[in-house]
Amino acid sequence: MIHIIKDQIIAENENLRVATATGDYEDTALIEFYDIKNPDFIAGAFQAQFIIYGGLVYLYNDHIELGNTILEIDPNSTHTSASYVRMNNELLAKMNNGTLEPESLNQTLNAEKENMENQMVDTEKFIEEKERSIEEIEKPIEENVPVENMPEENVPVENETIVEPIPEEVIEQEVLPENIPAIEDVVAPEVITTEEPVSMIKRKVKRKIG
Amino acid sequence: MAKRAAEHFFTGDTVPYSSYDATKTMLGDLIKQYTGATSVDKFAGPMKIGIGRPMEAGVPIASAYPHVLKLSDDKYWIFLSENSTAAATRRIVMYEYVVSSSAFEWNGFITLTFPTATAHTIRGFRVARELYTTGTASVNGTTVTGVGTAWADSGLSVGCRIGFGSTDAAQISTWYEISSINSNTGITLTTDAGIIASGDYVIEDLSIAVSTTNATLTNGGVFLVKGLQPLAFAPGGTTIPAATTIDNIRAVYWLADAGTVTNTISCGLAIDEKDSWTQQYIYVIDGTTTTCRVYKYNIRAPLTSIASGKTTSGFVLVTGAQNPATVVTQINNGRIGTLNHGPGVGVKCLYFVTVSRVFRAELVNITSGNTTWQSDSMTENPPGGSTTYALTNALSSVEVSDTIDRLIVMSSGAAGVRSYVTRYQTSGEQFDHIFLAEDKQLDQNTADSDAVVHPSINASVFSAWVENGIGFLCRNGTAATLNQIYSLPIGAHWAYASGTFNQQLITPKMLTPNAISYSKLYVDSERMLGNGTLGMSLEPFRMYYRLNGIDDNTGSWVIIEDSGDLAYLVPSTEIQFMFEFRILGTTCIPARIYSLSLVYEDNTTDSHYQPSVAQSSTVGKTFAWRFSTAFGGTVPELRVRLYDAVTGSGPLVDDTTVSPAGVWEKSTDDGATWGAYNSNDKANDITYIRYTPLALADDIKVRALLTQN
Repeated sequence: MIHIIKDQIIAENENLRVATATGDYEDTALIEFYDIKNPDFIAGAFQAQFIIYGGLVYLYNDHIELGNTILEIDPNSTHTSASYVRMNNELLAKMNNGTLEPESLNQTLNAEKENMENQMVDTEKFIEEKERSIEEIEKPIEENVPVENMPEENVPVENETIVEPIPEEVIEQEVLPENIPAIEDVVAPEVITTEEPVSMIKRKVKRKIG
Repeated sequence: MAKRAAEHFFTGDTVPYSSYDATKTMLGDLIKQYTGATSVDKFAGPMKIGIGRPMEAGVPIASAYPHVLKLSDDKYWIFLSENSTAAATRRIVMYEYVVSSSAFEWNGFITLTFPTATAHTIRGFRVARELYTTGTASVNGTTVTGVGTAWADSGLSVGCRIGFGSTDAAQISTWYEISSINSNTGITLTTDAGIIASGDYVIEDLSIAVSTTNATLTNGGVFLVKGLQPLAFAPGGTTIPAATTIDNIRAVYWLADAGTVTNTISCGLAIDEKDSWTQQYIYVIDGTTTTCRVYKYNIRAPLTSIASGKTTSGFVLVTGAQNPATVVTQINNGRIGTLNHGPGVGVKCLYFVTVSRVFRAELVNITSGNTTWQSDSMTENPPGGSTTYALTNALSSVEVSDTIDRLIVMSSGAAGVRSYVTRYQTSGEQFDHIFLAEDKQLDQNTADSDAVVHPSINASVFSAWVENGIGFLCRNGTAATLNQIYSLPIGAHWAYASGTFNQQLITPKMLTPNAISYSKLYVDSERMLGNGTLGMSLEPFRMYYRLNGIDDNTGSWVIIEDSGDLAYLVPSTEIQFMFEFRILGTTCIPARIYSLSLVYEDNTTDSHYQPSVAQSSTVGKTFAWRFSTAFGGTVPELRVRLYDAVTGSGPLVDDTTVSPAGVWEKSTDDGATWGAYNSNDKANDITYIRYTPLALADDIKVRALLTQN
């Protein structure tokens, strides 16, 4: 299951935006997109998993390898492979610690289900949060914190509120198409780094809201 | 006469056979002269076997169904389609292949996002590359303006590339990707190309057609990928989106045959040549038994009414069902070609296989609803008959090798069954060749370095493509152990080497001045590659000679026995040798020739005799020789010639042991006693012969020459 937001940037394709409505989609569901140079035309469709994670989802023949890789960059991913690996790891950990009980499987499944639900984003709140982020981004550029300088430990835990505005959020903001040119002006080229950090930021936003 | 040797090492100048020069080594297209640091690196022979390992590339992708495009004499592009467990996306891999080094270089891959996101299995796969060069083009920044061009009407796609300055793609050093095709005379580039004056240009239109079956049957069918270029095949991959409503962009289109697809049991896909920029047909065999029929699509038709990437505007027709009586395979089955022999001579046909037959269908018979579209078939019949090689009943695909005018019929490899190369005939004759063998060697990268790369069957299906005589055989495994692609110089096989394709190794002419007789040809060749444990024998070769028509390449070749014996020849002042090689065998490892030596006798004293002053007599006018080297049998007829040593004139006397005018004598006791001459071989080291002419003038200096007659 992948949460897709209308108008979000497509991984590895900074000129492309999601045209399909915001919602939760199967990993392989086709998500339509448009080119910002020609927003009136639907240019094509990528799978939902590609929209978020880019081509890495096609690098692996083994879904466990894929799941592990996704979890490295997005520990709370709702991608099916990531979910599978996360549950598997949890059960293995219990087994290794001698805490595996008959009800452990159900507990793990329920925990995963809860995680999925936590990832479901209230779109309206999401947009509000995004709009607030945009306002903060419009502050002088020197206040921005480059993504590449963010240590891993800065990743907020669930429900923690993010205080620092993060410029990359602009990339995925939920905005109307007519706002896009302005956003493009705000995002300096050097701020756009790789898609993986972008995906990380996206996850932070979700947790903050959820 | 003395024994002489004329040598040739394969280290000198070479020319292609098409530039015949009797002073150089001549090579067919598939014959190479290699060099290197050590003596065993310097040899000539058919090109080495090359290997690519898709499952050991930067991104391991189980690959199959090679489609090869020749870019230049030394550079090919090889495309392979993904062969792993069915999935919603499929990947296409690209290699570059360098003929001179037999090297496969992995470029990368693209990922196809199908308009139907259910699990696809690719059953057929073809690549179309066409060059558009009509008119002229100029550039200002990213704006390209054409004169006499029809870019939009020609169905060129966004995502393809354009180069300027030549109509020859091989001459283009800088390519630009097309970001939009605005009109027949207007193109926009993705990057600034500066200012380029109006002139020649070339657009490379690259597209891929795949036929798939699908977990949801009606989600399968034919898909067309437009707007590709080589750089899209990047090491990290490029994901091609599913098309939606717009034609001629980089996307995956679903060429449906109907609103609900009926082309659901694809067996493979064959592509015809481009007829025009709006017409190029592909043919998809559908149905494995009673419902077997052919779907025809036009991959250059303007696509209209595209919805969610799906359109029926590329569909042309479907034949009626015709039962082939045996099961049609679904392994890249179907190839269009025109053979120059057999029932399909000169006629463009679709060839395909069932498990036990090869079928032919003339393209003109592939018409809507036709239930008799199959022309005829050829039943499997191995060389030597089925009592020599059991019928496989496991044919899997067929490829046309036009350079040798033969079909390459691959089998499933199950239980090690072999594959064939053959003519197409319906007279029940045996197939021409059987090749490949099961020896279980794995050719993964971690194999022992002494193991010799070669296409062992390994109980695996191979898929094949032959381009300009080079067979690209892909073992369709899905693990690193069993997924390799090999290059094999099939066209150099000795049965076809002498045709117009000319895949022979020809030496420069070798001079044999004053030759009286030829003895033997000695050839130094590699006997085994690798070490004693893992080493492997090479395929054999044949040797030929000719004495006439050397300079103008008109002389006929005569085969030489493996003994190398040439003693039966009447010698000439020059001789030339030629080699042909077997490729279609068990290991298929081509032979390697290092050098050759021709041993002959010239018109100085025969090497078996030494002039003897002690036993000669000026008074008696007797000339003697010691019998120094045995012949190993009856002494051949001898001949003596006496010349004036001062003037060189003569011979003054010319006599033989068979019908002598003078007196021939022989001694076996160091000249103590002399008896009548006989042709017995040397008895001991004190055996002598001598000759006294019937008449010889006095007071002259004489040079006596003893030779074989």
